[in-house]
Amino acid sequence: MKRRDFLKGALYGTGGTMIAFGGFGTLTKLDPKKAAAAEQDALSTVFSTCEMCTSRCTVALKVKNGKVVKAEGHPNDASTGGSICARGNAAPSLLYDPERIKKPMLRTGERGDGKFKEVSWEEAYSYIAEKLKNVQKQYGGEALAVTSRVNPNDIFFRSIARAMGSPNMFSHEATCPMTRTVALEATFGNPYIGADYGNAKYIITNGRNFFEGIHVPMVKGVMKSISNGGKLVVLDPRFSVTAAKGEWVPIKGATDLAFIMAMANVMISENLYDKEFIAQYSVGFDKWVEAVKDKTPAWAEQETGIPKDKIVQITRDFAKAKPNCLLEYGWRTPWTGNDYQLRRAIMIVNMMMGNWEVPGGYFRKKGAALLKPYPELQQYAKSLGGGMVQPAFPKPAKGRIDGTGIKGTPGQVIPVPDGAVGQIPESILTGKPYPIKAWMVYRFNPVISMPESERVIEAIKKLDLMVTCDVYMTDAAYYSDVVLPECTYMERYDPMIDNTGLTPKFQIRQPAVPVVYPDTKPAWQIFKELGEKMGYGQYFPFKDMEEYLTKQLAAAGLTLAEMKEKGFWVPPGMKPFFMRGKDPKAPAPTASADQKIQIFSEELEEATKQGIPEYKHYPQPENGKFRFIQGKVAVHTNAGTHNVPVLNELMPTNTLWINSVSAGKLGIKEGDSIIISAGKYEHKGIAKVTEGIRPDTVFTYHGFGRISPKMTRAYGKGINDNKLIPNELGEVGNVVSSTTFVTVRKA
Amino acid sequence: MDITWGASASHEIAWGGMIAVYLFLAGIAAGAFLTAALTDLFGKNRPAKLIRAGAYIPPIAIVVGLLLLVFDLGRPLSFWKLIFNVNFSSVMSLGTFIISIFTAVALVYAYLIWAWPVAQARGIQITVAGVEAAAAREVPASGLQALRKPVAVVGSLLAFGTATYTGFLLSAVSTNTFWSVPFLGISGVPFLPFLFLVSAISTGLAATLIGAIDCSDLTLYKKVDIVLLAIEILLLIILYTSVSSAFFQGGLANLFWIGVVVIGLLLPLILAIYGVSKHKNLVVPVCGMVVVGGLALRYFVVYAGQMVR
Amino acid sequence: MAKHYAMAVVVAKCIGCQACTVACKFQNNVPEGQYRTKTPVVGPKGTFPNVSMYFEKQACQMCQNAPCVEVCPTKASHYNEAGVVLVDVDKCVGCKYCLTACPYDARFINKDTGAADKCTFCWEARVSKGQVPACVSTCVGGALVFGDEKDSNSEIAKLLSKNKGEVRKEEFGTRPSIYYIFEGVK
Ligand SMILES: Nc1nc2c(c(=O)[nH]1)N[C@H]1C(S)=C(S)[C@@H](COP(=O)(O)OP(=O)(O)OC[C@H]3O[C@@H](n4cnc5c(=O)[nH]c(N)nc54)[C@H](O)[C@@H]3O)O[C@H]1N2
Ligand SMILES: Nc1nc2c(c(=O)[nH]1)N[C@H]1C(S)=C(S)[C@@H](COP(=O)(O)OP(=O)(O)OC[C@H]3O[C@@H](n4cnc5c(=O)[nH]c(N)nc54)[C@H](O)[C@@H]3O)O[C@H]1N2
Ligand code: SF4
Ligand code: SF4
Ligand code: SF4
Ligand code: SF4
Ligand code: SF4
Ligand SMILES: [Mo]
Repeated sequence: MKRRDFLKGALYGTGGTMIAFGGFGTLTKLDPKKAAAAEQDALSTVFSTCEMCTSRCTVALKVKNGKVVKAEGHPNDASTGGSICARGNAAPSLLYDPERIKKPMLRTGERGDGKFKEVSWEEAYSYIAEKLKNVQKQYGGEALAVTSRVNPNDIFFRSIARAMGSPNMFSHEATCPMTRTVALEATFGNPYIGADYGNAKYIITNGRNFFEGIHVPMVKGVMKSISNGGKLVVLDPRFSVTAAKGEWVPIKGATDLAFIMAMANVMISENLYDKEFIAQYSVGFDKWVEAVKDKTPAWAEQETGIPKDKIVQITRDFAKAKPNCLLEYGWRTPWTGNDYQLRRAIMIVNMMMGNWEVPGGYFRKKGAALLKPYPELQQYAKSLGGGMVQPAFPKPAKGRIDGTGIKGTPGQVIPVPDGAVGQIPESILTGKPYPIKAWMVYRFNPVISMPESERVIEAIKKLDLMVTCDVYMTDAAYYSDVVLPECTYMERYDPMIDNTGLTPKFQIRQPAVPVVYPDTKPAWQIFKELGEKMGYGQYFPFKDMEEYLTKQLAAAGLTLAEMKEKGFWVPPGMKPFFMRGKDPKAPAPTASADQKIQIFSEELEEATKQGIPEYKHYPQPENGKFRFIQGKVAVHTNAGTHNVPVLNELMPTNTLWINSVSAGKLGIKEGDSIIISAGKYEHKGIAKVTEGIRPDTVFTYHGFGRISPKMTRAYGKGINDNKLIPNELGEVGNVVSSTTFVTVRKA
Repeated sequence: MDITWGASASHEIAWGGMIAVYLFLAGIAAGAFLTAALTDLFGKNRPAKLIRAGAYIPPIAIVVGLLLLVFDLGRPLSFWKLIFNVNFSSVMSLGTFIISIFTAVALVYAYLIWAWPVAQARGIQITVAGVEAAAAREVPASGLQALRKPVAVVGSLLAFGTATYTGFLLSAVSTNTFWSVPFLGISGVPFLPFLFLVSAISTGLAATLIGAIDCSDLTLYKKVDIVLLAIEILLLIILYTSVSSAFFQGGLANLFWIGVVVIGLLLPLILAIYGVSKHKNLVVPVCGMVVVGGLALRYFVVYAGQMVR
Repeated sequence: MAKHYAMAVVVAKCIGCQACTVACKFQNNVPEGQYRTKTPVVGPKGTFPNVSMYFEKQACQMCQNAPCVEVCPTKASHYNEAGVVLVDVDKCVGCKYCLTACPYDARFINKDTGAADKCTFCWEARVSKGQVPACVSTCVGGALVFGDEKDSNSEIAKLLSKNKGEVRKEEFGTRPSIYYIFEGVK
């Protein structure tokens, strides 16, 4: 408490963001000359938002003599408790990394031989504009695909595609939680659903790896739950850090849906679920009863390898904790082709616990709009506005390559903003349904992040134009024609970041220092200038980001100055809000106030003929083969940080985890060089022989084995998992990451 | 291979070869000084050549050793701070003074020994009786040479201090179970100072004998050498039984068994016993091995204490 | 009454995320490849599927009877007014005697200064100014608790009154000020 008060005083007391924090000895020890010099050395604090990963925690960047010397958590943010993770802490190492791209680059050699020349922004824009116009003329605007990792600048990036008449806009989500999004939309009519981990008494997770796939507020929540005596059950084929903090249940990969259905089976047969809740809030439960009728624990034991008694016991204990229990809905989710049904089933079982809109349960994220019906709450917040008003875009001449939006097909439920990014290399290579000729990627690395790296590269090589906007000369950039250097998040403004949870929460991103490399620019400016070059200036009706932010904030009754000073905004005095927190009968809207929770989903019935989850058996590895799975590691982000000096130092490479008994049979010892083979593709690696994995499974941390020699620290180190995984599209367009089998031998 | 991530726990070797050589050279210096000074003080028929060899070795050895020590410092240019900041609980701090004064005294003594024949020569010119008296050490030497004996006495004490200091330096690290192992289990009586003292005299004597190779009668010295080797073997047996066997395994095993035991002790002992009665020209190989063994011993002790913790 | 700063590591809450490791580096300008603190994994132990592991944050244990202070020839290593063991870089000659004396491998010779370096409890930049150390402030798992052990109202005193705090290598009599709470660790 004292510390918080102290900091509050120090940070806010002077009413500005530039607050002296001496980093030197007591003044009494210094002579006056030194003291004066020390004064200038004082630290100032700039509040902003981290982008070392897209959890986007609030941060306090410490600046000394015009340099960011340290990143810290925002001391007043209750959700993080002032913590940031290793990657967030590594911020200055990224900012000052001499291996960042510093100037726009134009390819001079063949694609992939790494020859580039530095060009001016003007030249880069002209080159791209000309190529795009040619593509548009020859093939139509839809021959351009754009892909970015979901972020606040997407609106500008996508405006280029929209203005050209392309519908082919993709996020990274098909590689990440898209199946969950599909399930949430089908079940609740909207995907903005969060979980109150901190107050849960029992958490079961099917592969969500809280303590390595880090989101600081979630770590805090789950840790609070287990510290308070809550139970954590971790179903994962390998022994993750998360598993080490709970009860590890080493489930067979790709069988999670069997476990969930068996849970439902037990709940129904033993009357463990909340009948009133189901009756009041949901529709279609009878079809679910029917669907899980034969999904007995004994059956699930065959599928999952988890003893039936264990399944029954977990289910009973879990149900005892209702409604303060969470069956985790996952984050990186695409275990199988029909993973969306796993996510659906998970949410259905959750609803059987009535853990909706109560502490320790799931809830709708409380944006200002949701507060409107509550007179005592509506005064707390207003929504952010748009920063600009864009004129209408031309209507695309053709539908999307991935079928998104086509009724009566799975495309009907693919979230429109995301799309099925795995379709891009297919369309480039096969020309179906029509060819993609230009691809622009921004803050996304398809070569490492999408399955089948070599196929992605092969596709890129066929393009008329490939553009990458990144902070590093990534593997995708390496094969591009033009590489556009963005400045880092510490050097720029971005549009407002909405991190709303149980209360509204708005965060600012603002520059802590001027750009370190003068020829780098923020993404909004890059795409605005490129747009202007292409004659699309009307779609970028704003001068700069300050103006843009001011407009966004005005709608919410906030000012830029205030946001800059505080870093983030939550409605002062507003407590976390659960609609059924006080009254378990209170209406708890899904999409709209009167819509019920869709246990049977009409929409999915229409799109995939599976209105209720159906179990699909995926093959298990035959003798001598292993299921190949991957996961996050605490000190790296996806495919993003492996070249950041400090983080590279902590973990320069990965290994292939293999069970000691399986390794013994193959004569493989700890540290041995091995070859992993997925048939078509092979990869060298180093073995980590461990007790912490199923004997039929091998595992590696994702994001290593980098292909671009221009990231010298990460280049060639470790295993690139996606070299081995085929580019298989799941039923709703998701990638599929846990159904690949490999063999392993000594190198 | 790091099994997960992060910096793995490490046991860094803080003191490496430079320190081992330094301890070794300090030992040689002390041993050689003792050889020379004790001969000078008590020897009946003083073999001048042996005294000279024993007096010249210490300053060279100790200065080289100190240079190594200084180079091994993280901040070599700040070595002088060792003299201006004293910590009475630190063996190193006290040792710094012992070694510094010893170095100075060793230099003075070497000078006096160097100047001795000159003084003697001057004496011849003065009186014949004087020369005889000087040679028979009956008449006090004149001028500076008058200091030689006192310097030899003081220097011997400092040499003794230096030799044992190299042991105390390590044995004072109470958290190091190897270095701080007590003598025969007697608490408060560290083992290493004994070992290093004996080894210092033995290697110093050996080095001196190499320098005095063509002196006629060195039998006494060779006998002393045999005794010292025998004592050292005894001490190592005590050490071996007092500490965990883990210290004598792995890479350190070769260093100990081949370097210290075979080359440094057993071979010279056998050859010395054989050579005392028969061959004069075994001095160089025997003494050479003793010196090499002494170096191996310092390496072994310095590393063993840090490798296994 | 004089203060006695101490740190508790609630091992069950440590997720090995290394935020502490990195925060310390930037707070204290620790050179590349060197660390004042590390949090290595212990384990996994056992056989499939009954395995366990935990992480152990390691740094200077802030001994109250510190061998490093005792052996330091220049008094560069010393206790400050609050009992925190520090190195006066100016006085340090880099002899490494303290490195050999520390039973916790807590010290190293800083590549940039040539002086002995180790955890300082972030004394100058933070603790002396009323803030908790950088590692404690950033700890994602919430495993680190810091404060004046002698102040019975402090969080750490309360924690230690309820839980058994173990010290590493007690047999050396170094009396560390870092307590490891193993409750709930499998
Ligand atoms: N430190 C760190 N934090 C991150 C990220 C990062 O890269 N690094 N990335 C962020 C992002 S983008 C995301 S999406 C989240 C991801 O966070 P999580 O969803 O927790 O992602 P992973 O670590 O990939 O977790 C996958 C786990 O599932 C297991 N698994 C694999 N296949 C199966 C299966 O078929 N069934 C079951 N039950 N388990 C399986 C794996 O062994 C692994 O432990 O983390 C976010 N936070
Ligand atoms: N086999 C397998 N494949 C996977 C996964 C897996 O576990 N296994 N994980 C999947 C998951 S969950 C995800 S979310 C995706 C992630 O895939 P990506 O979104 O591609 O990965 P990131 O590392 O988040 O970021 C991509 C790029 O953003 C760049 N970048 C970082 N900051 C900035 C910035 O400020 N501006 C710009 N312009 N660029 C920036 C980084 O340098 C990096 O090249 O990968 C997926 N792919
Ligand atoms: S989880 Fe870590 S890297 Fe991601 S935003 Fe938060 S502090 Fe930054
Ligand atoms: S842990 Fe080591 S460095 Fe720290 S006080 Fe103890 S002995 Fe000294
Ligand atoms: S290295 Fe520095 S702090 Fe350590 S003992 Fe030597 S002088 Fe003291
Ligand atoms: S207290 Fe400070 S110096 Fe010590 S480990 Fe933590 S951050 Fe590093
Ligand atoms: S920051 Fe906290 S949870 Fe993370 S490794 Fe360090 S002590 Fe453990
Ligand atoms: Mo993700």
